Amino acid sequence: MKRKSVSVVLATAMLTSVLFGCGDGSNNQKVENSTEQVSQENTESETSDASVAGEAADTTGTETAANPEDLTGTVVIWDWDGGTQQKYVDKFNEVYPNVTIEVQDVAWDDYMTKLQTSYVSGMDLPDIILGEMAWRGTLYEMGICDDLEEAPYNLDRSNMVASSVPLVSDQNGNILGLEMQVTPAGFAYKRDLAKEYLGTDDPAEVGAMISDWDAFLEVGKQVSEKSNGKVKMMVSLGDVLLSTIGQNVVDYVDGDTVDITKKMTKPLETTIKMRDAGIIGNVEMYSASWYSAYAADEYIFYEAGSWCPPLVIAKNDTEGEGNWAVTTPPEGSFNLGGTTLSVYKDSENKEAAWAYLEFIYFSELGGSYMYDLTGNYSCYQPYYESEYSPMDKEGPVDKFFGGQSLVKYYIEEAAPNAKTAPQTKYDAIINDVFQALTPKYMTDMSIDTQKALELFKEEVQIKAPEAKIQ
Amino acid sequence: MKRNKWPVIFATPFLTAYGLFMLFPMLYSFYLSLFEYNGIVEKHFVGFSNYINLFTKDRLFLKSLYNTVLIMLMSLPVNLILGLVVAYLLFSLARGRRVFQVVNFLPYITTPVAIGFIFSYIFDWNSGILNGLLTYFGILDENYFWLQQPWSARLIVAIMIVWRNFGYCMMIYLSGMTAIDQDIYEAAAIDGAGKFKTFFAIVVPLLKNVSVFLLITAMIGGFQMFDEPVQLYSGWSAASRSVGGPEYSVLTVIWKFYDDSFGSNTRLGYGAAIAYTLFLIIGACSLFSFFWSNRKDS
Amino acid sequence: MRKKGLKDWWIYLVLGVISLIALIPFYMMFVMGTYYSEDLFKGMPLFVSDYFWENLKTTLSHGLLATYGNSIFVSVTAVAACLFTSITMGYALAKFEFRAKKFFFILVLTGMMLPTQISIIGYIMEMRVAHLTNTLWSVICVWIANPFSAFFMMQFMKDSIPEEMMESARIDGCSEPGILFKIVVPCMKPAITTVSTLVFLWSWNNYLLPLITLNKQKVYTLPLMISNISVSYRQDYGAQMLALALSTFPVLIIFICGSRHFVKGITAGAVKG
Repeated sequence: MKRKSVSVVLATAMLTSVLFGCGDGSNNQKVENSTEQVSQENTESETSDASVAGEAADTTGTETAANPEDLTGTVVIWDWDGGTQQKYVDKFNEVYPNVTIEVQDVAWDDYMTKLQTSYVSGMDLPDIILGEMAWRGTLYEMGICDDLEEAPYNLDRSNMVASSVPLVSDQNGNILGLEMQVTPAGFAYKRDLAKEYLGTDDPAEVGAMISDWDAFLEVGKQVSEKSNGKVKMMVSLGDVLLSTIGQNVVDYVDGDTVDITKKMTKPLETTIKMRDAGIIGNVEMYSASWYSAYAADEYIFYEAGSWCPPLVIAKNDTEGEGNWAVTTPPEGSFNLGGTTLSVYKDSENKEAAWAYLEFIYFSELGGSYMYDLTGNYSCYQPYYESEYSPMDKEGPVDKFFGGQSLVKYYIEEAAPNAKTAPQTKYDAIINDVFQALTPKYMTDMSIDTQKALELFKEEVQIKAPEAKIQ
Repeated sequence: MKRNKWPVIFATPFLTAYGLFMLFPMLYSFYLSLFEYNGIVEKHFVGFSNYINLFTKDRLFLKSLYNTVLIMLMSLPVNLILGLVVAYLLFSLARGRRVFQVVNFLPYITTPVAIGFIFSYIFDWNSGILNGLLTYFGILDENYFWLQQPWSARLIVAIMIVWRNFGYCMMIYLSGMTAIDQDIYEAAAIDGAGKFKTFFAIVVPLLKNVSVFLLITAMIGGFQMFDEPVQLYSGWSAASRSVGGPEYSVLTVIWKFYDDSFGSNTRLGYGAAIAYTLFLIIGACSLFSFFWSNRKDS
Repeated sequence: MRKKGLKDWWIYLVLGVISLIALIPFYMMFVMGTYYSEDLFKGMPLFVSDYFWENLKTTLSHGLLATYGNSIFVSVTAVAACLFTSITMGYALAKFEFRAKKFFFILVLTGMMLPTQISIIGYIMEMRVAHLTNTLWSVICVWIANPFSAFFMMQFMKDSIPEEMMESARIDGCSEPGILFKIVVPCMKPAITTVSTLVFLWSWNNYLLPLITLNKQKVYTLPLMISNISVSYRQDYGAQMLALALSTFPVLIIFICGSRHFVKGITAGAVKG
C-alpha cells in the first residue's frame, strides 16, 4: 500500500520533475527491494498483491497518456529483429500518431560492438537499447540505462512478473529495463521420437521420466541402446551446460571476488557426466548445423526458452508441425535468454520512448498484441488476470506443438519456478567462456570435472584480469 | 629552383587528407595508449604501463603474436612459391592466359564473409564436406574435429590465406615476367635451356625485386591478419563462435586488439598500446628485411 | 611451334587443377545462393537449386538495390578521390627533389605499416564533430589518403615515366599541372586500373567503419545490409550467400575489364619495390 501511494505522488510530480531533470524520489524503494533479488520465496506474496497495485498503475497510466495525440517526438530503437518490432510500432502509432519510432536493424553479433564504440566516440545512441542475455550484465554496468522507477517512467515493480524483476535489475537493485517477454525454459521434444523411445509423448509423463539429471542420464542410456547409438538426448553439450548454469542460481559475485567454484561446479559435474555417458550429440551450439538439427530426427530434447517455439523451433523445423511438445526440464525450470528494453540516459525523447515501451511491453492491451502477433508472454503481471488474459487463448504455435497450450506451460508451470538473479558483467563473461570451452570439453574426453573447472576459472581470469577468482 | 614550390603543392591534397584522417587519429590513439580508459569511467594517466603489462601481465598478447607469426610462416612461403610457379606456368601458355588469370584471381575478390562461411562449411564436424569425404572413402573412421583442435584450426586459417592471396601474388609475378626483356627468354631458348632451367637461372633471379616487394607487403599484411580467423570463428558465418578459436590458437594480434577495444571489452587505451606495439614490430621487421635484401644485393 | 601445343598439356593440367581449387569456393557461393537455407546442411550443394527467386526476393526486400547504390557511390567516390591524391603525391615523390621529400616518404611508409583499425576512435570523433556521421562521407573520407596507393603511384612513375618526356614538355612551356595531367596521367592507365580495382575492392568490403558510423538503413552499405538479412534465431544463409554473390559483380566486372591493364599495372609498381 505504501508503494502505491509513493507511485501516485511520483506520477503527479512527474511533469514538474521532468522540467528540472531527473527525479530522485524512489531511492527508498530501491534499498527496500534490493533484498529480494533472488526472489524465489517472495514469489507468492508478490503476485498476490500485484493485481491490486496494478489498478493503481493503470490509473496513473491513463493520466500520463491522457491525450496520446499530444505526445510527439522521434524514438530510435536498434533491433536485430526489426520486422517484428515494426509490427508493434504500427499498433502503437494507431494510438500515438505523432510519435515516430524508427527501428534500425543492427545485427545481433554486432550489437554491443556498435553500441560501445558509438558511445565511446560520442555518437548518438538509440533512445531504446536492447539488452540481450549474452551482454546484459555488461550493458547494465555501463551506466547508460535509466532507472525506470524514477520519473518520468515511474514503473511499479509490483506489476512485473516476479521472476522478471531480478533479471531487469542491476547489482544495486535498480530496474533498468523491461523484459521483452518472460523467458522461463522448458525442454521441447519431438513427439514421434518420444513415443518410439520413451513409450509416451504426453508432456506430464515425459517430464516425470526425466525428473532429475540422473533420471535423464538413465533414459538417455536406454534410448542409446534401443537406437544403437543413433538417437541422442540433446544436440549439443552446450545445451546441457547452459541449462545447468541457468539452474544453478547462486550469489557468487562479491565486489571483485568471483566464486566460480560455487557457480560452476555443479553444472560442470552434470555436463561431464552426460558427456561420458555418450548420450549427447557432438554439434557445436549456435553453429549452422546446430540450427539445422531442429529438423533432424536424431535428437529427442531441445532446450526451449519461452521464445524458442515460435522463433527457433517453428522456423528451423518447417515440416515439424504437430510433432513437438514441451515439458519441465530435469530439476525444474530456469531462465533462458531473453532481451530487455532500456531507455538511454541521454535520450531527448524519454516520454515518447517510455510511452512506447509501456504501451507494448507493460500493459494489458500490449500484452495481448504481442501474444497474438508473436506468441510473446508479456512481463506485465496484471495482464494475466485481466480480460485480455491469454491463458485460455490459443497461441500462434500451439498447433505446431500438437495442440499443447504453451502459455499454460510457460506462465503457470515454468515461470513461477524459474529461479532468477540480477545480471552482472560476470554473467556475460561466463556466457562467453562457456561457449569457448564447450568444444574443448566435447572433444577432449580426458577432462574431468576438476580439470573442467580449472579451465573455466583460467578463462574467466583472462577475460576479467581485475577479478579475484575463487 | 623556382619549380620547387610544385612538389609541395602536388603533395598538399594527399598530406591534408593524411593529416586529417590518418595522422591525427593515429596520434590520438597514441595519446590514449598512455591512459587506462574504457570510455565509461574517467580516463587516468598510466604512462607506459599499458605497454609493459602487455609483456608482463597479459597472458594472451605474446600468444597472439606467436599465433600470427606461426600462421604467417605456414602461409606466406606457400603463397609466394605457389604464386611464382603458377605465374611461370601461365606465362609460358600460348592460349587461354587471360581466362586462367581471372579465375585464379577470383578468390582475392571474394568477400571475406563468404570465405569464412564456405570454409566453416567445408570443415564443419557434422555437416562438413571434408569429414563426409574422408569417412566415405574410409580414410577416417569417425568425423574429425577440424575446427576444434588448435593445430588444425591454424592450418585451416593458413589454407584460407593461401587460397585467398596466391592469386594476387601470381598476378604480381606474372606482370614481373612480362616486364623482363623478352630477348632474354629468346636467348635462353636458343641456348637450349628447358623450362626448368630458364625458371631457376633467369626468372627467379630477375624477379628478386618483385619477391622482396611481395615479401615485405605480405609481411605487413600478415602481421595485420584478422579477416580469416575472425570470419571462421565469429560473426554470422562462423561454425563455432569463440574469440580466438580453440584455446586461442588463432587469436591474432589485431583480433586481440579488436576484441580488447571493441569486442569483449572497451579498453581503448590498452587496445591502442597493442596496436602501437604491433606497429613497432612491423616497422622493425620491414626495415630488417629491406636492409637484408639490399645488403645481399651489393 | 606446332609441337608446343602438345608439349604443354601438363601445364594445362596443373593449371586446371589449381584453377579448379580456386574456383570451388567461389562457385559454391553462387550455388548456395540458390538454396533454401536449411537445405544447405542436408548435403553437398553441388548444383543449382530452386530457391533463387525466393532468396532474391528476400534480399530485395531488405533494400538490396538502395544499398547497392550506396556502396557504388562510396566506392566510386573513394576511388576518384584516392586516385587524385595518390597521383599528385606519387608525382611529387617520384619526379622532384625537394627538402621535405624524405619526410613525406617516411609518412607514406609509416601509413602503410600502421594497422588501419588503430585510428578508428579518433576518426569517428572527427566525423562527429564535422557532422558527417550517418552520411556516406564518413566511410569515404578514410580512403582519400591511401598510403599504399601513393607508394604504388610513386613506384610506377619512377619506373615508367621517362624524365625526357617531361623535360621536353617543360621546354615547350607546359605548366607543371599541365605536364602531370596531359602527359603523365595518360601514360598511367595500368597503374590507375590497379589502384582503382584494389581501392574499389577494399572500400567495397569495408565493414567495421560503416558499422559504427552509419545508423540509418537509408545509408547502409552492402556488407551491413547483408549481415542484417538474417532475422533473429534463424540464419538465412541462402539469402545471405546470394547477396554476397551479387555483391561481387561490380568488382568482378571491373577486374575483367581492367585485367589487360592490370597485368602491366602491378608490375611497374612492384618491380623496384
